[in-house]
Amino acid sequence: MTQLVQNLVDGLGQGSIYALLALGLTLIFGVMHLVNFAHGELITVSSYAAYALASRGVGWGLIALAVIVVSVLTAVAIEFLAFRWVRGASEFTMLLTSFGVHFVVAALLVMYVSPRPLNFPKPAWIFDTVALGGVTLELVDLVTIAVTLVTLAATGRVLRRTMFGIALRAAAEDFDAARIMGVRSNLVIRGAFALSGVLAGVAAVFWLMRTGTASPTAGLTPLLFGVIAAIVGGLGSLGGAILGGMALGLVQVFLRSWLPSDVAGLTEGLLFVLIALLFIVRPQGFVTVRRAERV
Amino acid sequence: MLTVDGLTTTYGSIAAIRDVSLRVDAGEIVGLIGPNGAGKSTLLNTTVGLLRPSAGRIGLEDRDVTGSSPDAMLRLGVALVPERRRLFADLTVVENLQVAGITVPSAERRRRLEEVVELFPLLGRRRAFPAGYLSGGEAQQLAIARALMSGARLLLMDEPTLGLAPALVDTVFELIVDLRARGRTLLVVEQNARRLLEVADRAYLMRTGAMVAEDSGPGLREREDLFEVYLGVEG
Repeated sequence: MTQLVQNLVDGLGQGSIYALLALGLTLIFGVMHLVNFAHGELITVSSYAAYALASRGVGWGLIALAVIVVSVLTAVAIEFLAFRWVRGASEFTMLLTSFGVHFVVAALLVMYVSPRPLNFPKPAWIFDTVALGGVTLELVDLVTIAVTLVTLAATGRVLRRTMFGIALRAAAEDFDAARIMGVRSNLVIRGAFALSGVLAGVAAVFWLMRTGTASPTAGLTPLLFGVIAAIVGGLGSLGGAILGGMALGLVQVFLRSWLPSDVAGLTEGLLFVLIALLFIVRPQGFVTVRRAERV
Repeated sequence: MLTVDGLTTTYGSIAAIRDVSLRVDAGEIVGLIGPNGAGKSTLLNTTVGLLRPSAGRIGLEDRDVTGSSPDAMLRLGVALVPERRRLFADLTVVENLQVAGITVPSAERRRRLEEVVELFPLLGRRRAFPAGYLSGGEAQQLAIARALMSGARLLLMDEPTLGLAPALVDTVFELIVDLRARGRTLLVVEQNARRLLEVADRAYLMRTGAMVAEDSGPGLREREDLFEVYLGVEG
């Protein structure tokens, strides 16, 4: 029972990061029909901000704020410099553009910062545990879950209670119909990138707290799981993205816990087998999404 | 009010409409009829800026609005009620109306929302319903109500009675006439051609991307030859 609760909290902590990334990816997919493989760059670029500050002794409170700001600025810059020019092009063109952004950012970091991973100090409390009713839980998991819940609630409020959020949901459902209603494409797309930057920034804070490393490929692994979570949840569904992220984190942690130690390295492989099986049974993912064709 | 001169819109190398011209004067109901594939929807979509014309000019009053974006057209007072309504199914009735009023200040938006709900009391009772759960008639009311939220002076309606029961078709035509009485100008595309021509001040007939006839609504209705050749006896 103790192990079960520990795995549950650990899985939800891990899944929270995936859910935040998947939600950001889903927002972009909704307004652009783009699976944004450049989304990981938000974590990559933020990791250097964390390195710059942490290595100068700045506390993690300020680092967290800086990581979120850098993530938002990176998201808006990527939209302005790359995706704006291919808007309206085929989905394949936009996909290739997102790969291009990843390789350009990685190359720039290798050339002008460092080709080697740069380590920085993790928060002092990262390995702290909390005993709750006989169960020992990692503090970082509890904080990740709590902050994620607050972030998701705030995001939900923005999406449901503000004109920007309502317009964003409308555009995600039928972009052309939203344009007919007077929704400005530039504003809604830029807003979606900025919001996805906030979500990726929060995810980056907890990812970087755990890894304590900045590298040109720091965002690749979380990006991969974020994309999978978004697809497993039902690409285009905001609720599905959260569900997919949490499910992915839970299955990953439970597999790691249940597999014998000599085959623990197969965790990710088995995870992908399970995902493949899910898609055989339910190709659309957890949530079925209605989607309008563009004119 | 609206003048379209020599408009051509292509999909790839295929011209969906070729050298099309029409005029809509303030306070009119103008009908646009023709068989499927005639280019009627393409003409409306190009007019509101969803499609870019490859040639021709679109004028709104004294202004050249060719190639303007849909939100710019809406701000100039031109709204489209699209074919198949294209409601945001996951958004509630109120949210659909709020999005449609996004171009107006929030206080004015709230005022118009109440006005529209007064005009369509049924929608008032369904405020919190997701639009995807509305019946065909309710959905059409919402589609028209959305166009009114923007305060548009010129409404372009694409197949407003598509998929509706006969009784609801009557309601929609009554509403079209009522909107004209309230000072709106309407350009209406409709498969139910005879019915549209009953209420239209003027009408145009399109076929395979070109304009083939123009007359008063009743005048075009009398042209049995055109109905048989271009629309079939069903009209």
